[in-house]
Amino acid sequence: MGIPSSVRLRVAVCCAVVSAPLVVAPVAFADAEPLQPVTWGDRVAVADALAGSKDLASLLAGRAYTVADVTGWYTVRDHVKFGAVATARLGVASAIEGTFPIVDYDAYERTSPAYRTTRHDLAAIDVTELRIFVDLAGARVVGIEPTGPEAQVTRGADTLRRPQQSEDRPAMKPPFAAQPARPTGSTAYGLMNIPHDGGGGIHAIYFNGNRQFYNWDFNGQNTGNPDWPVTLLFTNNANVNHVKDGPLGGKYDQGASCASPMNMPVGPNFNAMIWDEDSGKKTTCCPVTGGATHFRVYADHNDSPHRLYTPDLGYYVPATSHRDVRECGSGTEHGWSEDAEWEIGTDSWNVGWAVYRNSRALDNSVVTSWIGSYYYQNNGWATEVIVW
Amino acid sequence: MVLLGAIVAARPTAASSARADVVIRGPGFWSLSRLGHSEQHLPATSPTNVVRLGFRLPRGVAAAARRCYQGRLTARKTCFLIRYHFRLRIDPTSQPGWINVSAATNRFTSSQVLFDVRRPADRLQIDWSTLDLIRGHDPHTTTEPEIEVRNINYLQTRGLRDGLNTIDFQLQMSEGVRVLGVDVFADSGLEWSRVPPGRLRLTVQPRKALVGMGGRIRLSYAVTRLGGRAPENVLVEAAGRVDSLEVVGRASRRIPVVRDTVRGTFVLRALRRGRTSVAVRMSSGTDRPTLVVPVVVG
Repeated sequence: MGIPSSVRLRVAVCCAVVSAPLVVAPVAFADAEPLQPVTWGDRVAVADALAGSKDLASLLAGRAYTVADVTGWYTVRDHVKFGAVATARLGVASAIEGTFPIVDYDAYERTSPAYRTTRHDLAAIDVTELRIFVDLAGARVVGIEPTGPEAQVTRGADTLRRPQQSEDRPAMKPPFAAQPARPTGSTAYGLMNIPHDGGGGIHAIYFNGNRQFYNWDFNGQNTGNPDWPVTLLFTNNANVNHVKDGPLGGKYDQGASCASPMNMPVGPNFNAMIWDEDSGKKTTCCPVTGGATHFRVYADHNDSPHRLYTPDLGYYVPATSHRDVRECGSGTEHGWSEDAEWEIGTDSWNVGWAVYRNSRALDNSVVTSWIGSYYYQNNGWATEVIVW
Repeated sequence: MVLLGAIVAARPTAASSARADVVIRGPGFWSLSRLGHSEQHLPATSPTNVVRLGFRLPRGVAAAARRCYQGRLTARKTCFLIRYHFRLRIDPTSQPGWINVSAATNRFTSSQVLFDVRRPADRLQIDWSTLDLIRGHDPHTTTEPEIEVRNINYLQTRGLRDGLNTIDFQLQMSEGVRVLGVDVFADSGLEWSRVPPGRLRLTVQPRKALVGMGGRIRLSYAVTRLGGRAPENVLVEAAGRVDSLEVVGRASRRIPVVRDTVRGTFVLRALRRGRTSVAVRMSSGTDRPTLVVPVVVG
């Protein structure tokens, strides 16, 4: 319960000395490095920040609150006070929906300040308190978390349009036909260059308030170098083996020796996501001419290998998709994630699975465009394939 | 009873519907016997084999069950669980591959047991696991060709509907795997419960530590059930930064069931001066927090 899990771990790190009584080990910290106390001036600055925060006013929508507590917010490494955390207590348990500024704290403190604020559309119920992070340098609110003993927080993806329960054949539409001409020259390939289409970019996806998987996979085990967006969710009775080597295996019959592995943090529940690696399956091994359609599927290889489970999706695995063109020839190109999603969806329908095109929003749309030899194309809505 | 050699119908056939399907009228365990069905046998005649058995639900129950996972943990809910008790019989000469034995309602799966059939040194070995909201991931290994499994899990939110429903048992396998069959025992069935999945909170004290070189840190942890069904098979483990902190004694503990609060202690020894940290991780069917405790070795 409480804060969305995408930020929980980092917040837990950043606030380790803030929110809990300071109990110390054999040699007392308090003697060696006394923490700077919260001063009267800090409290005034916090009061000013709360009064001037448009985010807070918008989220509270006129609800009354009292500031129950103000504690210091310190750096992890040197325990320098740079902010304060105020606990605003609401009169009654409330449902709050809106855009929350969430503090994302770099535990390695590579920048100063070490936090950044990201904005999340959240829906929270049974909220009795707000934890409000104030940067004392500017006397401004930089983060707000809905909380309380029984508060539940869900992200946007949880409340999005669900597929119908009917087994009707989904409406078909042609794959993306038009594409802009590829520009000449090459461009560096990486996170900053992918043209996001106004969505939230690269982040974890939640169901029922639990962090489940990322909406991209990554080249290496860090989230700084994305490879392809998640375009498919194989759900209900899915598992890695069945999706890769089951009925689709006849067409997608080329595996690890033909495909390089990529990575995704996945996890069935809060906080600790586990990196999983997969090479996926593709239709042709390193084509000299023509192309190959390639998908990769992910599960939590430490705690739940082969599949994840959530009541919203059943047993499921997220998948990324793309095409590799002339991979072992000249003029190699990669991309067309949306077209690959369409093709794999059609293949899934043809083997008897139910397919709901573009039914799950994953907030990973991109501007359809060339970057070097990569053709980025994704509408941000994943196809759900219900595996029987 | 409907016995299908492949994935087909969305509802029981006339043969099944002709008999009055039992209405699940209230909380409690509704076994196959209570639902008017007997023990079932799934043959392995095709890659996918399904048995579908009918039952009925009063109006409004399915909608209430979809709200099982929302709201206060302590409130009375309408929740449904599937209890799957079966015996899988594998041909001892089977080639390697995978087997998926699953149970569902209206084809929406809520119990999936995966078997990985291997032949190291030409001897049969089967790694199998369940994954659910009560025990989390629960792996096993055996060399026996007959495996009896009991699995309980909460249904999918889309697993029920008003009126006629089916409880389904399915056997799938990859090419080359030889299965003799699956016996579904009559004490399988559906449980109507007022209690949602249990949720846990992990706390660790102290939240930061300073220790001398070679000294020891005692980390006390507490796993507290916030509400819901008592989680089982809960793992708590500690890990220090490599080369700077070493766990003395047990680095992990498996808790059979958390009914209230379970406490314990990890002891770590400091190996190198400087700033470091220790992570305490909990893994359960519903919650997997990791708490990081900053440590200064002076």
